Amino acid sequence: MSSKMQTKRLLRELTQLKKTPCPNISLQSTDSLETWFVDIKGVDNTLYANENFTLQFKFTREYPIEAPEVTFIGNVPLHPHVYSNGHICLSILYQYWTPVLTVDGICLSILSMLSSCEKKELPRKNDVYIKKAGPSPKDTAWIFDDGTV
Amino acid sequence: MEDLGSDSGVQSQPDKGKGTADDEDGATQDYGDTYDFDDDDEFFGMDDSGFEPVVSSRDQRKPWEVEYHVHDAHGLHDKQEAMINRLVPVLSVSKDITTILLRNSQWKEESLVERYLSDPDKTIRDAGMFPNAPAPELKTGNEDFTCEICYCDGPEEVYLGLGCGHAFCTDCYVTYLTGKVLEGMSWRIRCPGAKCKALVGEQAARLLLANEPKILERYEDNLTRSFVNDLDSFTWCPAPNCEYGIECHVPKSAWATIVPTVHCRCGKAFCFGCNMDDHMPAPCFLVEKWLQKCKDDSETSNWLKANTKECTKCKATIEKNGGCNHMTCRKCAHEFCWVCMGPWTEHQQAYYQCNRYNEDSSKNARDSISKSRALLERYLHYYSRFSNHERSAKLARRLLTTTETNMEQMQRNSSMSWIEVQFLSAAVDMLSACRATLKWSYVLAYYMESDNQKLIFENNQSDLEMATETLNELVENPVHERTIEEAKRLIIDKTQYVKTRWETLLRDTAQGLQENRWKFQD
Ligand SMILES: [Zn+2]
Ligand SMILES: [Zn+2]
Ligand SMILES: [Zn+2]
Ligand SMILES: [Zn+2]
Ligand SMILES: [Zn+2]
Ligand SMILES: [Zn+2]
Repeated sequence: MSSKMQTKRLLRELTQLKKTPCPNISLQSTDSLETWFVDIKGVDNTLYANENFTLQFKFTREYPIEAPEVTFIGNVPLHPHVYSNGHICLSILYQYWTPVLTVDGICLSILSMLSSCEKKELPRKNDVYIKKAGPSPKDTAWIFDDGTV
Repeated sequence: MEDLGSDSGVQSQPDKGKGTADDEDGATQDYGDTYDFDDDDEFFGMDDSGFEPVVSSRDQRKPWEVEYHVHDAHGLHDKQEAMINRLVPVLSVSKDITTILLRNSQWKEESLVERYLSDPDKTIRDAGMFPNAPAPELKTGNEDFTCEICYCDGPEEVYLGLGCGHAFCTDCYVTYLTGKVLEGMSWRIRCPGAKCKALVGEQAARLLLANEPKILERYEDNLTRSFVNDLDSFTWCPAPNCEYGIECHVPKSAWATIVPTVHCRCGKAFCFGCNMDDHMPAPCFLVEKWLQKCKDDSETSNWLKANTKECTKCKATIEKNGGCNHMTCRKCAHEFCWVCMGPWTEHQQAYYQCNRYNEDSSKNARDSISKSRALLERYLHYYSRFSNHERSAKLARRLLTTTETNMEQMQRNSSMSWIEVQFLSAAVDMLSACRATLKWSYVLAYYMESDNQKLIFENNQSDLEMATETLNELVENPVHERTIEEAKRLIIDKTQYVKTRWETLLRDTAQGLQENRWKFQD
C-alpha cells in the first residue's frame, strides 16, 4: 500500500465518519492520521443502553491490507469477549480481517457484539490473559469458537 | 498429526496385470495394489550413487527395493500440470476451475469426478469458483468503478474482478496478494470482499503478479509445496536445504511389510513412510515402537523398582542380590524385611514368614522380580548391539577421512592411480550401509518371537556381522604386514563378500516380512 493510497483512504473514511456518522458512533478526536478515538454508545434496550465507551484505532503502514489495532480505553465494558485490559476478541479484527472493512464497519460489529450480550461477565481466564498478553491484541493468537464471533 | 487419508492416497489407476507379470523372479512384491507410472521419469536405483539416473524396470529391482521417483521443482510442476491437463477434458470446464477443484479435493481425482458429475455447479461453487464466469482480465475505462480498498475511482483505474462481482484496483490487489503469498498462501487466497468465499484463481493471480517476478515465483513455490503436502504419494526429502520431492506409491497399508527406503538425489537415504533415516530391515511400526521404548527407558526404571528399595530408616538405596529377605542396610545397619519393608525384629518368631504377607504374594513378588530382570536382560542384549552398531556407523563416517589419507599414502607409495585406490572408499560405503542394516536388524530381532524362522534370520545376521567386523578391521589397517597389492585384493574380495551377506539379509527379511514368516511380540 503506497502511503498516498493510504492517506486517501483514511481521509475518505474520516470525512465519512464526520459527515454521515452511523447512529451511536461518533468521532471523538484524532491524534494524527494514525491514531483515532471513536466514541460508541450502548444501543437502547440492551444491557449497555446509555453506557459510553471509547475505542482507540491505530493504523499501521499496512492498513487497510492489514487490520487496525482496536482496543477499548478508559471505561472497558464488562462483556465475555472484552478483556479488562481493553482487548477485544472479535474475529474480523484478526484472522477474518479483509481490506474492505472500514472504521465504522468495525464500530458497528463491536456494537452488535455488545447488543447481543445476555449476561455481563468477564471473559473466562481474564486474569491469565491480561497477565500474559502484550500491549497489542494483534500479537495474541486468537482462537474463535466459530467464524462469526 | 496431519490426516494422511486412508490406506493409500494413490490417485492413479491400479494396474494389477503389470504388477504380477513383473514378479517372475519369485520376489513377491504384492502391495495389495500395484501402481504404475504413466510418465517415464528417471528412477534412481540402489546401486546408483545418486547422481546418474538409472532406468530400472521391476525385473532389475531387488526384493527390498521399492519404485520411486525423485523430482526437482520443474518435475513437480510438470507433475501437477499433467494431472490437471488429464482432468480438463473429463470435467470439460476451464483449466483454472479444474485446477482449483483438484487442489480443493487434495488431488483425489476419483472422488472429485464422482462428486462433480452428480452436481457440477455445486462442486464448483463449493470450491470458491463460479461456473460461468468469464476468464479473469484486467479492465479499465469504467466510469462507475470505485476500489473499495483505497477508494480510487474513475475510468483511468485498472482493476480486476472475480466471478463474485467484487473488483479492486490492481495496486490494491497486488499488495493484498503479496502479503498473502509471503505468509505462504497460494490457491487458498480469497477475494478481499467482505465475507466473500470466492478464491483468487491461479490465472487471476498470475495476471496480477506478472510485474512482480519474485512474488510470482514464491507463489508458484507455495503451490508446489501444497501439492507435495496434500498428496500421500509425495514427500519432501528431509535433508536440510534439499529441494527434491520424492514420489512413491507404496501405500500406507503396506508399510508393515515393506520398508519403503528411497534415495534422494542429494545422497540422503530415508524411509518414505516415516521420514527417518533408512531403517531396513525393520518395518516402520517396529521402529516407532522401539524408539518409544528407548525413550521411556521403562525397563531400566522397572528393574530399579524391582531390585532396589530405599532403607526405611536412612533412605539409602539398597539393591537385593541374594535370595534372603533379611536385609541389613549397609549404611545405617537397620535390619528389615525385603518383602514387607517392616523391621526384621518383628519377624524373629515367625522366621521367614511375614505376618503381613502371605507366601503366595511374596512368591509373586519374587517372581515379578525375576521376570522383570529377565525382560531387562533381554532388552539390554538387543539394545547394546543396536547402539554399538550405531556408534560404529558414526565411526565409519569418521573412517572415511582416515581412508582418504590412506588412499593418498597408497598412491604415493605405489604406482596406483586415484581410480585404482577407490576400492577403499567403496569398502567404507559398504561398511556404513551394513552398520545401519545391522543396527535395525537388532530391533527386528528384539520383537521376533523365538522359533526356527528366527534362528535362520539370526544366522544371516551373525554372518553379516562377522563379515562386517572383518572388513572394518581391514579397512582401518589395510597394509598391516601386507603389500599394497595384497591389501587391495583382500579388501576388494571382502567388500564383495560383505555385499553378498548384506544382500542375503535384506532379501531374506524383505521376503520374510511379505510372507508373514515371523510373529512379532510387544
Ligand atoms: Zn485500490
Ligand atoms: Zn468476492
Ligand atoms: Zn535430498
Ligand atoms: Zn519408516
Ligand atoms: Zn539404612
Ligand atoms: Zn516382612
